[in-house]
Amino acid sequence: MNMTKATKARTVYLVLGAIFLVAAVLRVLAVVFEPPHHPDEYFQYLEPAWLRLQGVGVETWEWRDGVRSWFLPGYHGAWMALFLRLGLHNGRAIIKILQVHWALLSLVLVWAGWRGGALLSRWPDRKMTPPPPDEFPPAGWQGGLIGAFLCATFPLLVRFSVHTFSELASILCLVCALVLAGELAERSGRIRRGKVVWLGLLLGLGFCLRIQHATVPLLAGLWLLWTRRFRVLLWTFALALVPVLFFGLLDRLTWGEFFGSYIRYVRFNVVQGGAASFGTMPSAWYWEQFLHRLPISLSILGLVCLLGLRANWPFVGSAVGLVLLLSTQGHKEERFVMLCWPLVLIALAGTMGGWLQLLRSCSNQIRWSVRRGVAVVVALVLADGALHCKGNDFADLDADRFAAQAWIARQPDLTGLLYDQPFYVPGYMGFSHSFPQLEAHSPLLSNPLFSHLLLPRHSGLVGEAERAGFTQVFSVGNYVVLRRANVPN
Amino acid sequence: MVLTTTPILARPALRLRRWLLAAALVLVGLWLYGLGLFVTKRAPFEAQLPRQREPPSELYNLSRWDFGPTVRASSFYADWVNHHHPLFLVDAKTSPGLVEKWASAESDAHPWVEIRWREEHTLERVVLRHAGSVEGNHLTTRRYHIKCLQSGKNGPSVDVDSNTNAIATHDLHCEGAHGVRIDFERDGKEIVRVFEVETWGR
Repeated sequence: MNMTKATKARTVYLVLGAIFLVAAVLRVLAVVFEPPHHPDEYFQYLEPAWLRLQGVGVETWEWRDGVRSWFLPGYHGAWMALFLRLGLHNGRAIIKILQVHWALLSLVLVWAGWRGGALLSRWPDRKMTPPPPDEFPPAGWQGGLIGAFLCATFPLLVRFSVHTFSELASILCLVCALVLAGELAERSGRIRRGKVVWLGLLLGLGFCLRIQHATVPLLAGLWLLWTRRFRVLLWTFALALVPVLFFGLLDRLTWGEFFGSYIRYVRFNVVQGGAASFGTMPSAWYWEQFLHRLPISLSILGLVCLLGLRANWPFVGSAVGLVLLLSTQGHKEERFVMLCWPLVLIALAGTMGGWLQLLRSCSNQIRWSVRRGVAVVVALVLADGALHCKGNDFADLDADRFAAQAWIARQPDLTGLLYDQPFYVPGYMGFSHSFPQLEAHSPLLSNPLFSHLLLPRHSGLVGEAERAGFTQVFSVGNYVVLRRANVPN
Repeated sequence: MVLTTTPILARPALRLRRWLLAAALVLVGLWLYGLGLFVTKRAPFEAQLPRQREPPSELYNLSRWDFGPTVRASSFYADWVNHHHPLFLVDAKTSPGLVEKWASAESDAHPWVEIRWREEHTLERVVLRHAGSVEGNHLTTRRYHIKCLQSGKNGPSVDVDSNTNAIATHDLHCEGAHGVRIDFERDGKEIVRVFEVETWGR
């Protein structure tokens, strides 16, 4: 029996290790093939740091008006400063390194899937004594493996894991925090102080990084309250104040006002309704988006989550609450609700893992059927997700455009660049050049500084540029790059 | 029962945890060092254009873009659509559009620009095409200080207190010069806007 348990533990270890490996490989592939998701990942979180360090960069209105916290650009900026000191001056290469860094950090979601799936799998079994903290594999390990596998391979999560967004950083903090909250809610007797400290800090940090994600701290608190972990709740709240106060102080030091960027952010987006100026969507848009991503399996996923609601309500509640909260706002983007995916995937894994737990006393035939059923659901969700994972909030942010930009960035004779869309470029950092870059207009064609043009193949400006002395030197997909052949007088 | 299973897996797990902790500590240390660099550094803009033609022997505009000058600036105004880039100061465009000028950033309290040449020259005069040469004359900078840059010593300079000329010519004879620096004084909250800096010499 001892050997059996040791063998099982070793097998689970190996499977878990393999899942982590698969997750890492998929994320590295995402670094290579994933085009940018949104202009903000450059202009809000990288370019301000590059501007400070290199003296060249786009300063968006948010940064002029002090609507953003310096936390994330400062975090990126510290790495950038280190790489610059080490002699790496290529902004595009630094962006890639930062993407790899986020891709690797996002492996904590696999950890969260493992722990969260196992936790929710054993949760309904209230009669069961909580497992010893170091037991391996823990009770509910089947759900843990499903959760880890789903978080490791769900295509949208893999794609999103390489983007330098505040959403991603916040998701990593909050999903882990919710799992920790569950583990603390589960245990009776001695409470692990380290876990409480992590819970408080992660909740505070995740909330400050993306205040719209407030439903997770709320549900984590409710979970602790529901399970009468009052002391843990109190300590969590106190510790969560540490990052909150730090963000306030950072705003005081950078913008001259405690929580200045948050006050201006809420004032502009909510009080003044400024977010609507970037486009509004119908109230049901987020639900339509989910259906678009999982047209076949969303109903199954929803049904399974509903069946396990007794255990997974903090996860499902956080996700649904976030969607309801954000649906009240006119301006909607898919990245705003990306947090929902790991939450519902863990809820799904936990519920199905719970079913597998109940099979111990069943006949072989029932066990076989349920296991196959679980495998089919997992495969369906992943296949459906893979078939419908293409596309971003911005349809024009395609890989060809960025292939053309990467080609331009490598040109040693570049002295200025004109392009068709100023929002769909990686800023000065992404081009790794200090030369001017502007939206293409006819009068600018005569400025001798502009040596290159990036345009859609069928743009009217292509012919005009050719008459002004430019010739096509590169093309990819729908895009052409033109280079000035002779200098205007 | 536990004794036979736990140590087999606990040992590698413990070792892995130690390695991960050590790696994390190294990364945190490196990041903190980077943070120190990031907080203490605020770099000015600097770019050198490639030389596209050889300078003539007669009097000419030393700063012209195709002679390959280096342009430095304390800042520049670069919102998403309009980048008033420092290199527009040397594009030698005779009828520029509104965007083709250098403008300082709103947060820049003491704007300045420097234009350096590839070789030493004898400077004769500096011509500034201010905002008023293309847009409203009220945007023309009134007060600024032009200094000739010479190796190892302070070169001659010109103080301008109440300029009203949209195209301002300032005689500044300076031998062995390798560039000029212009320090501007902002007129209240107005940012500084300059379309062109010409430095005439031989």
